[in-house]
Amino acid sequence: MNFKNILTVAAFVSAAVISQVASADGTTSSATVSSSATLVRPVTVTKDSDLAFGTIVLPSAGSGSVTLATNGTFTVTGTGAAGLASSTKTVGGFTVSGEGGMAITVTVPATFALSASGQPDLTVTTSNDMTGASTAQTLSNALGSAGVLAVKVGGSFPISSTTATAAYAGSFQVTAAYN
Amino acid sequence: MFSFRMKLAAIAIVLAAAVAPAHAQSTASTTATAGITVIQPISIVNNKNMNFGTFVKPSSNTTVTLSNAGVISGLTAVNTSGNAPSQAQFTITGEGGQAINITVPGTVALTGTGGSLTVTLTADSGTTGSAQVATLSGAIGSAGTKVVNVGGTVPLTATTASGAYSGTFTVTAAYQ
Repeated sequence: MNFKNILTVAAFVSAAVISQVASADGTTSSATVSSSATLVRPVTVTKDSDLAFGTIVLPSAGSGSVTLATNGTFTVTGTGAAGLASSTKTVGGFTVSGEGGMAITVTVPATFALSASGQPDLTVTTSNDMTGASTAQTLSNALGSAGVLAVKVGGSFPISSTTATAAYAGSFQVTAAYN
Repeated sequence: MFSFRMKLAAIAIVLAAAVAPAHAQSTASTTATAGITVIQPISIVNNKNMNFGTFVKPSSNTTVTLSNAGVISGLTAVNTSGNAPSQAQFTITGEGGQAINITVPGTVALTGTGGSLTVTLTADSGTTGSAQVATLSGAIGSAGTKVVNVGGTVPLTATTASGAYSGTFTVTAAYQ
């Protein structure tokens, strides 16, 4: 890219700048600062599935836990506690899309609340299937084509025989950003 | 005339302005919902045992019927003092409004010193021998109940051995 190419870019931005640069002499400059950043596809995050734990029966005594792993394995602990087979359990699923090969940071909240009117919240501790640090994720493919990264989110929370019975609901946000 | 240094400054400004829109698109997020329904354990209590009562052996084949309300027909119970006929009754307790399956066996064998009798069970929760759908009273957030009454029929003949016959059967309730 030579200096004239850069002037072309400038034309879209500011007439004042163009007039200043246009008055310059013909000295060429190699200040072709990589403008490839302007060609990167926007990054998007799409939700493929919500996180659903289904219906669980509380322990008859003592405490326990409910865990939905990112691979879909559902575990309920506690005396007499169980998940109803008829209830639907789904792992939270997200697809990050953007420029292939780009390094990204995917942020999944460590915890979020499930709420029911008039009852104490249930605090869900999330899990996810990202390999390595969330700040060092990479979109598939290479620069020049679209890339994706699928992220699954599971969760776990404690229960006890005194947990209030109710239908609890909540939400959490997953964010992706180019590094 | 601008010096070379000034040109570079101008270029830097231009590139920064051009890149800015892309930078605004470098982060994206979306929200997923999450939910769980938490319900209390289910339990079932036997309120009353089934009792047909005492009957005089019939001269010909007769079926004695014990209704789900505890009423005998077919023969007349005798010596009912302290031995009144009664249907079996169960109370199921769990989370209000929840769908459950109730299973009452189709028959129960009563055994006595002279042999055995087969009682064909009837239940107000529906057909016996397979799971029947019911819904606990109330709504989620509080306890709900469902009462199940079980009666039955038993055939007696002139050759039925005299004696006391007894047996047991199990009623099961489960969340769907």
